[in-house]
Amino acid sequence: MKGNWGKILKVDLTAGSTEELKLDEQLYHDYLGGSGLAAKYFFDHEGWKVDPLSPENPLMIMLGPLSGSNLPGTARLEFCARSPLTGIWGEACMGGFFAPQLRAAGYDGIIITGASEKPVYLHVTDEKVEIKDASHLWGKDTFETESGIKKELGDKRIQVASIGQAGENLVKYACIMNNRGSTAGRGGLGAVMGSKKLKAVVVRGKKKMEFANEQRVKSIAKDMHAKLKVNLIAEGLGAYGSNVAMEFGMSIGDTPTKNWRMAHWPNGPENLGGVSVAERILTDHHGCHGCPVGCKRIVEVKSGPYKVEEGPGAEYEGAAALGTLLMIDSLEANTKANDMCNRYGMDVISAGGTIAYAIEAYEKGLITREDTGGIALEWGNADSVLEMLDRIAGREGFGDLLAEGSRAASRKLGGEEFAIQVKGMECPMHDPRALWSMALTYATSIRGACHCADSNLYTEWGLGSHKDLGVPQSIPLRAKGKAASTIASQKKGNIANSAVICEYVEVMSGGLLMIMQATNAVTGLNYSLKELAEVADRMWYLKRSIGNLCGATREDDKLPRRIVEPHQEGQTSILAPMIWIGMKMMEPLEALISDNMVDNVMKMANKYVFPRLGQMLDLMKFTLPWYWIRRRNLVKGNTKAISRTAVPVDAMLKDFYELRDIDEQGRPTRRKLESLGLKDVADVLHGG
Amino acid sequence: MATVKLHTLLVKQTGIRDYRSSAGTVSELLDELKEKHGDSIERYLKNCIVIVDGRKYEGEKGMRKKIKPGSEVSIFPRVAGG
Repeated sequence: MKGNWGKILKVDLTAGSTEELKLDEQLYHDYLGGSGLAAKYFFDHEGWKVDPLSPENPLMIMLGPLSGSNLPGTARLEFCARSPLTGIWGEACMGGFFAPQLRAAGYDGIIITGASEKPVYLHVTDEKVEIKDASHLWGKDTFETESGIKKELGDKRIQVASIGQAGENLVKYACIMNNRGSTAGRGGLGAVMGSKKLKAVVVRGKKKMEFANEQRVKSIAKDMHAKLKVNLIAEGLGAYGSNVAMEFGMSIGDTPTKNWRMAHWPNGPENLGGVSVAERILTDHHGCHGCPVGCKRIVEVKSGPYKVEEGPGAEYEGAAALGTLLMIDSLEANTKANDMCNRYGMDVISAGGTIAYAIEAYEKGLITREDTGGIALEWGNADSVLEMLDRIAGREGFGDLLAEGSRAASRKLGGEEFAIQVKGMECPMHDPRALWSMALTYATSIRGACHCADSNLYTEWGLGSHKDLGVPQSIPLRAKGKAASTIASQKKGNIANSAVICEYVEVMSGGLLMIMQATNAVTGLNYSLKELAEVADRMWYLKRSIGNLCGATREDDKLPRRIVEPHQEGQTSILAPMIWIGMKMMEPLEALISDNMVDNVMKMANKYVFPRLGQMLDLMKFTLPWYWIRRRNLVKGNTKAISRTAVPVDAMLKDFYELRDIDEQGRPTRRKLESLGLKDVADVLHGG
Repeated sequence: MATVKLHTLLVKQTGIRDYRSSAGTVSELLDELKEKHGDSIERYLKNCIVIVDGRKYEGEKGMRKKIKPGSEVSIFPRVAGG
């Protein structure tokens, strides 16, 4: 077999033993690698039956056929396990420098089960595998851990994936860090490492992978580099990082502000956006191994209360989740918060989302200063946020509850309606009211609210299409076609996360066709686009079924109403009561009429009413002076670019279930599973 | 005069964040930018997104949009991140 070693390293930390698992070539063909192969292992070993923080939960660190191939954007790998945050399937993709070294160590992945009695780290090279004592590293942050291990082993080229104090303390959204700024961020897989007393995984190798067609791989690499060199998105990412998105995002209402209550806050992009970072604190930028784009920021806050030594700067998600979402517009404070999350090893999105929930709970009187241990949780109070990050990582006082995530905290304290999460995972920083497809993305993403599971973000921005899969472009702010385009988008996301390749690079250098060509050149498997799309579907349905086996149903696909209804404050706030009254009037009617009639009404509304709502509201400016005054005087800026209608997510979901063949309980049908060769999954899910 | 705000790569290319313009349409505004900053700016303006007083304009139709005195115009090169 070319492009894969055909073997996985299996480690049992309870027994302190290691072994090599040989995998059949057919498995690579059917599941590709990365999170696809991990899901297959998880299902075969009944992973859904074990608690996420129990020793039996397998932590799977998986490469794909493209990982470490030296093609741009392929220094990536997947961490997978049952998620402590959501309780369902968890996967998180990491860039940086780890994947090429694991590939060169001679393995396609590492599967870790069991738990050590004392802290350890795993040291893997192409010559030996050792489980080493890490007692001296326990309690240290991810930066200290990485530099400590490099010093100890006397080799600067080793790569370290480690956890900080958050992982040790089983914070439910603890992440795994490599090279200080590269993260397997979402779903709390750092806590899975912590539960195993596994402080770090260290890799180093010198083996060279043979490709099926070396010349073809070289020519694809050349082509990708040429495309990236002239691509405007690549230039933007190189100049300003992923945070190049905030200025445009805020102008169209894509960047959540004040716990998703507002859509327009000029202070955000002016102070926290990529241009501001470049002008004020940027010292350098770089990319993951072998990538010419260089989207990673290196920053330094030289002095003041939020001093940060030179190191990785915030990406867009961190700038928004620890910035606009909390009404923090100090670039220095935002950089400090991001740095703390990197060091403690905490997912910035869930940390920001959970604190945003807590601030609103404080504002609404559900909790007091006494409950928070003296911290005034207020919008824009950066010092309080930094203090709370400390307490969450250490699980001190009120931080212990927030370490469980916003879903768990809101179930205890109330205010579930403003805990902005799906399946327990806090929503990333893209607002479905601006990009309607993101509603389906969040509702149906396998691991909970996730923006990396598909490419909807880019297609909504007009930066890609699904012509390659024969799916027409859906129109922004229209429900029609969103289900089909989301499914096409999910196919691409699953392939990217199994091949494994960076989604930015995929979009910029040839899309799915490029992945197919590269995978074929590396492995010699000769997929067609249709076959690759079938592999993607197999993975999606398998992961969805695992979610069902973990207890997820259609109910768990529901979005918080706040993120699909017009904003409560700012430009669309005046509409909220009107929409609410309208929806309440519809409720008794909905109970009386059939599903088809509701469908027809929705279709007519989509066709005739919603498209004209903007014009109708403009007319209202003249008949309702107070509305006009409010808009002109209280809400200056880019108001009309933002959706002023509720996102018809229920109608879009209905289409999605039909197209995906999902039953009333939210499970893939037996027919669908069997058509993809997943009879064993169907037997477990539906009864054999 | 309208206030014109440039964003991301346009700031990098021109060195300015905002300026005042008397251009009558979006098309005239983009021509004015090309004239001031040369052909090198053209690739950033190709397929750019223009927001005039909060409303988004793209494509040929968008180019014909009139700009009134006192308007606020934002110009975004088509870049992405997130």
